[in-house]
Amino acid sequence: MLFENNDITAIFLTLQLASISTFILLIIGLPLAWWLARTHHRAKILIETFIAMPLILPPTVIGFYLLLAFSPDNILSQTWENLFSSSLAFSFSGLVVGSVIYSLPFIVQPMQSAYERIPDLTLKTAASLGASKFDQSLSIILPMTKRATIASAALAFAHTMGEFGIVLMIGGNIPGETQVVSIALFEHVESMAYEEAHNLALLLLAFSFTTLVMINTLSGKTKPRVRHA
Amino acid sequence: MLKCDLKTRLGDFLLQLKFSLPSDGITVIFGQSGSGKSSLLNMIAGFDQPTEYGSIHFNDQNWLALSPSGQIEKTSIQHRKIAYVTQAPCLFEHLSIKQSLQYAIDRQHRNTVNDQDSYPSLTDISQYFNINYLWEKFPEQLSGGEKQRVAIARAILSAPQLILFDEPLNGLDENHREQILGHLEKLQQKISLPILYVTHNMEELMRLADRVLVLEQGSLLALKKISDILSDLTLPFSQHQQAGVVISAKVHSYDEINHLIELDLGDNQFLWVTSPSTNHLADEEIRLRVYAKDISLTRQPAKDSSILNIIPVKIIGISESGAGQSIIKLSCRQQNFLARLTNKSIQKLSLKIGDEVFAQIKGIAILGSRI
Repeated sequence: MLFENNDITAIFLTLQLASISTFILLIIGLPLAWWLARTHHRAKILIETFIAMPLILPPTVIGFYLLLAFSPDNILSQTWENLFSSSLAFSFSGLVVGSVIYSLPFIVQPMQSAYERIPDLTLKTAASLGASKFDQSLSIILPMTKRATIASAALAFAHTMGEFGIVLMIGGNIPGETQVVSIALFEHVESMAYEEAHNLALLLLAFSFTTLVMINTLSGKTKPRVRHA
Repeated sequence: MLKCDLKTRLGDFLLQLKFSLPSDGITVIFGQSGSGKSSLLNMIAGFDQPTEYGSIHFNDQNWLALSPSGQIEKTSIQHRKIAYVTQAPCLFEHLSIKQSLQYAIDRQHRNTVNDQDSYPSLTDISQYFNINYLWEKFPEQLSGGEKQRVAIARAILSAPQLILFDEPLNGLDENHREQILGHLEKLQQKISLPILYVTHNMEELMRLADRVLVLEQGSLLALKKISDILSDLTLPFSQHQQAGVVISAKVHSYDEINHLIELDLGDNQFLWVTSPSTNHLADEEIRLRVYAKDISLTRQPAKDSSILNIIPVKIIGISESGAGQSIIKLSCRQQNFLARLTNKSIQKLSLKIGDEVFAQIKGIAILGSRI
C-alpha cells in the first residue's frame, strides 16, 4: 500500500478544502478584482494592500490573528456559532475561512490585471448593441478572460493544497477534520516515518509541477491561438 | 427628432450648444479636430456625460436630464437603441466575424423595427458589405478596412433607431475609403435610419450629408441643409480649395446614344450630365456636385461653345477669397452655385450683386442617387 489510511483521508480532506476554497475564492475574488480594475475610489490602494498582505506575512501571523478571531468570546465567532451551531476554531470551516484569506491575492491580482486589459470601448460597444451589464459579463468579460480565470483558479487551488502555517495555528491536527497533507507529512517526519513522508512529499511535488505547467501554458508563454485562414 | 442642450468642460475646453435635428437622413457633424465633435457624439451615445448640465431627447424618449445642481436622470447605453461605429473598429476578439454579427442580431433592438421580416438579414448585409468571406475569421486576422466594414455591418444588424459614426474612414487607405464611402452613400436606400456622422473631411461631407452641423471651438456655428452650408459665403466651406455645391435634381430624360441624362432644375431649366449607367428612372432624384472652379461667367450666352450647360443665373453674393480671386454666389431657380473667378475677370465684366449673367458649367459629377 502506497499510502496508509490516515494519509488517504488527509489527501481527500486537502482536495476537498482546496476545491471549496477555490469555489468561494472565485465568487468573492472575481467581482472584487473587477471592482478594483475599474474603480477610482480612494480606498482602492488600501484594499489592494490588505489583499496582498498574505503574500509577505508569515502564515503563522495570519493564523494567530484568525485564532484570536475564532476564540469563543469574540463577537465574530459568536455570530458564527449562533448561525451554524459549530465553532470555527479547530474545524474544517475554520480552515476554509483561513484558506480563502490566504489565497485571495492569487485570484485577485492576476484577474485585476486581466480585467484592466479589457478596453472600456469594448464594453460600451457591447452596451450600444443592447447588452446589459450582466449580459456583458457573460458574453464579453468572462470569455475574454477565460484563460486568466482558469490559470488563477488553478494557482489558488495549488496554493491552498500546500498551506501549512495557518492550518497549524487554527486547525491543529485532527484526522478527518483538519489534518491536511502538509500536516500529515510534518507528523510523519516528526515520528521519523520517512517512507510515508517521501510518498506524501512526492505527491505534492508532482501535483505542484503539473499545475504550474498547466498555468504557464494557459498564460500564453507558449502562444496558443494562431488560426490560419 | 433629436434635441440636445448641453454644457460640458474638458479642462480648458468648453463645449456648449443647443440644437434639434429631424430624425431622418444623414447629419454630418463637421469641425476641425478639437472642436468637440467626438465629445458631442459620446454624450449622445451615453458613453460620457456633461460636467455642467445637459438634456438630450430622442423622439419621445428622455436620454439625459442633468440639472446644473447635479440631479440626473438618464437612459443607459443599452436602452438608447443606438449603434456606434468608432474610428478604431472595436470588434470582439474572442468571437469570429459571424459570431460578432450574430451577437448584434441576438440583442437586436427589436421594437425599433416595425416589420422584422423586411429588415435586412445577416446574409443580406454581409453581401452588401462584401464580408461573407470573413465569416469564419477572427478580428486579429482582418485588415483595417475589413474590420471597419464588419463594424458597420454589425451596427446595422443591431437594428438601432440611430447610428453614430465617429470618423469611420480615418486611417484607411484610399481604396478602402472609397469602397466604404460607396456603401454608405447607398445605405439610405437599404435602411432608412437617421445617421449622425462626425468628420472633418470635405469629400465625405459632400458625398454623405443631407444636413450639416458645424462646430467651432465647442459652439454651434451653423446647422443647415448641405446645399445651404456649402454655398454660404460666411462659412469657411466656400473658401476651401474644393469649394463647390451639392444639389439634387430629378431625372427628366435619358439620351441613350450620347449617354447623357437631362436633369430638371425646376421651371424648365435643365442640365445635361454624362452618366455611364443606363438604368436611371424618370423622376429619380440624383445628387450632383459642381465645383466652383468649374464654373465661368459670361455676359452673353456663348453660341459656339463646346460647353453643354450654359444657364442663366443671378449674382447674389461676392466674397474675396485672397490671392487675387473671389467666390461668386449664383442663383438659378431654387438652386445655388458657386463660381471662382479672378478679380481681374470680375473687373473686366464689371460684375456686381444683382447682375443677370450666364454660367458655363464645365464639369458636373454624379454623387449618387437617392430615391
